[in-house]
Amino acid sequence: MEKYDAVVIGAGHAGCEAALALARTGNKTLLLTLSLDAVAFLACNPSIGGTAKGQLVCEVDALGGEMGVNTDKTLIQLRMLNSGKGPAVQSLRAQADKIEYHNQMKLTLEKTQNLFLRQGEVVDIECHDDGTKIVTTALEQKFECRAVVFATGVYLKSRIIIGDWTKDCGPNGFANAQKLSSALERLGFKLLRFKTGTPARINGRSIDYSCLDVQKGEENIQNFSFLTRHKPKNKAVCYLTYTNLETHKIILDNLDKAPVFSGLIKGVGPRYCPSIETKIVRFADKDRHQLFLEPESLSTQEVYIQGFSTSMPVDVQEKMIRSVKGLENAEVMRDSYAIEYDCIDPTQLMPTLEAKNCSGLFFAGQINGTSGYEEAAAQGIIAGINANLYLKGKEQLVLKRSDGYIGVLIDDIVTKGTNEPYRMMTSRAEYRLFLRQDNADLRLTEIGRKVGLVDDKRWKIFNQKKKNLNKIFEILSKKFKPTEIENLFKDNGENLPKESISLKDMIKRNNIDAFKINDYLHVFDGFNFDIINEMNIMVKYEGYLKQQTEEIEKFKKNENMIIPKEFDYKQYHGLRLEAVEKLEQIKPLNIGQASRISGVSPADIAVLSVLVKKFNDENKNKKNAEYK
Amino acid sequence: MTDIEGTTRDVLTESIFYKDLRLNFIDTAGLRESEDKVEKIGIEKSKETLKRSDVVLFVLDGSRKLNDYDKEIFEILNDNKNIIVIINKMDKERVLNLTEDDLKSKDLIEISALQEKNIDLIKEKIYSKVVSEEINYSKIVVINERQIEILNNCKDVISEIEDAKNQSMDVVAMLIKKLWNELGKITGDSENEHIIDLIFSKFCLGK
Repeated sequence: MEKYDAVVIGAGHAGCEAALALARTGNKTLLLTLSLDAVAFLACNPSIGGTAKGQLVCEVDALGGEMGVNTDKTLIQLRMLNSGKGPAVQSLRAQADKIEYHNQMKLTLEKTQNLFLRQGEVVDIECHDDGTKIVTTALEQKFECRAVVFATGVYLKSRIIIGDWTKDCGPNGFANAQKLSSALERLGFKLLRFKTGTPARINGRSIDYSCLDVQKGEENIQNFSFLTRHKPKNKAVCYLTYTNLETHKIILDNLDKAPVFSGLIKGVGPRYCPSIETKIVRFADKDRHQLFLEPESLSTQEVYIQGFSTSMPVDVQEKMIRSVKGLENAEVMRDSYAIEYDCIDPTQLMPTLEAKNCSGLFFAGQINGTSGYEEAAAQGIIAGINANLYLKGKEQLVLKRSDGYIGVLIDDIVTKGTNEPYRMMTSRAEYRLFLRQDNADLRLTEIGRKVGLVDDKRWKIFNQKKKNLNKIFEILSKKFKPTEIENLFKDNGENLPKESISLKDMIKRNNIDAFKINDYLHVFDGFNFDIINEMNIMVKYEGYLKQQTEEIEKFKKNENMIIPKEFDYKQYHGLRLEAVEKLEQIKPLNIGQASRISGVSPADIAVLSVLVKKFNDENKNKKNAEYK
Repeated sequence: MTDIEGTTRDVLTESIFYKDLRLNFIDTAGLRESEDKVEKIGIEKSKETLKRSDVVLFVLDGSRKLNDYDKEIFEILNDNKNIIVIINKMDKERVLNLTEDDLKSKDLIEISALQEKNIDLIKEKIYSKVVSEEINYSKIVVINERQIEILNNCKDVISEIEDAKNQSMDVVAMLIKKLWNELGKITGDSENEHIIDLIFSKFCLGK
């Protein structure tokens, strides 16, 4: 039997990050995928990033992951969303070349030492008491390993639905995994059934772009990866169009044929990304909905109609599409479909993404009930990091909610679970002023280095950035006489101070920032965009960031109150029965996590804190007594 | 909560939003005289709660006759100001016959909890009592030192928000959240899900 340190099941966005993290930390890693043609496949949007997702990509990158690098290699358009709303909620969003994205990621996997990419359908997993695991494929191949990462995406018993037509297969007609769901159930996992969907793709030559608004990329922004920072090369544009009353009439007239309403679809769909028929019904007062036309790749004419996902029969779909301005003669190339799939209830996992009931099994991506490439990659890298730490017998990594969106994401799903595909949003993060894209490296790269994933090149770039930041802060106390800054202040509508003013105080003015100062005074000429930008945010938001840092310190107090593994909730009176049940199910690592479990009240937490403290004190005394 | 009568011992609370009002519902333990120590504490708590509440929903089972116990409770309630008599189980045959004049003179609402019928009528009734000022707000006072301190903190945050007028939205949002968290120390409400539900009910984010 072939032996590996780890086997990763699934080569989507979670599986790729997990496998790379494992291989790069020196583990012989087998990456099994149903189809080599579906590696890092952008099954829905040809896009990476977006609100809160851009932050996730930067965090994956800061830890030493691949998503940011691969996006930078293959993007054909880049924009910064929410640029007017402040740095905390700004997010990069790229149109990625879907074919290139797949090609480049596959090539990276193939070139990575210790990583073995192989086609194969996993049908069973055996977990032995000594920690070895046997992974069996449909072709009866058996692989022995000690850690397994499940990153099966939407392929578990998946079913595609178009009108009353259904087919057991994965996205885009790829083969699905029929048997792995039962293997998971045999291992004791509770499964959920979720639903998602993707819109039609049409031939670009059949679109009348002349009557549509164009959406271009931005030139003066920086791309995702801290490794490959440069301005993007925008090569393609998107277009904006809308549904209209006629479209809505076609949908309403055919509502009885929509599987989401006829009861054919049983899985729970995401509220944030409803099908167009759901949107029409739910937002009945709106007479139009935005649709974006996004190019799938430079090497195809296929265009993705964002916002138009449906599971209507194909004849209705075509009528719907052709009722839209600019799409009157649209040639459909791929039909829109809904897809249902099995996933696990993520509360069965620890915040390390390791299964509670079976050590050495890790889960990442859509199998955990999340949605989105970025959410998947974020979990993938953590599962990979922790599988490596598990294999080496080291303490595993848990990112806190104050460390990054990744921490928020994982804490949310393992503590509260989810009853719909989970999407990251900025409003889920308590400390978002601190959790920005620009400082993802300052927050996470040291952690990435510690777990062995940040290589020397990235480490050097990171330390250079820190050094330059220190340098730029040193010159901020430099003062300028009113005569030297007259134009800067006048042109930007600020009152000229009577006395000399430091650079730092200038930056704090509402209508002035570090870039504007540099245009006039050229004091920061020796520094690159990243450094000036980072310093500018740190100075402008100094007071608010300090407030947030204080809040984080308070938050950490409860996070650092560890609940020992041996702590038995049932032994104590004072905790309500409902709370005991919940606590035993979730098994929180600390008081902070316990306080976020629904059904556990602040009063329970107060009691629990006292009990845990008492428990720890008693144990300490016991140990001391034994020692004496 | 269980289906067995007399087993509600804790005071259970739940809040909902109706129009612009937040309604806090409190389900009390039964008021039956009892020898059981625990139950007795429950009853005392219930009486205490009754005194503090603005509206009392007196729920009767429409499928059976009024018994002595119902009358007993009504005796206790009768001094109370705003009573709405709820007659439940309208899905079943009506057996209950309200003979007591006192009872008849109250606001009556027939509902079916099982079929979720007429539940909105209750909310609307409470709302109208507030709008018509049948519910007296003048007695609302800040109870303890801690709450005074929290409210003072809130005042500080509000002036911080005013100062941040020229700041970007993310800063203002942070301060509003801070205010909400501070208020949550009194109301016990700081759940993020409300915001997320609201976002989902109004916008499609896409993937």
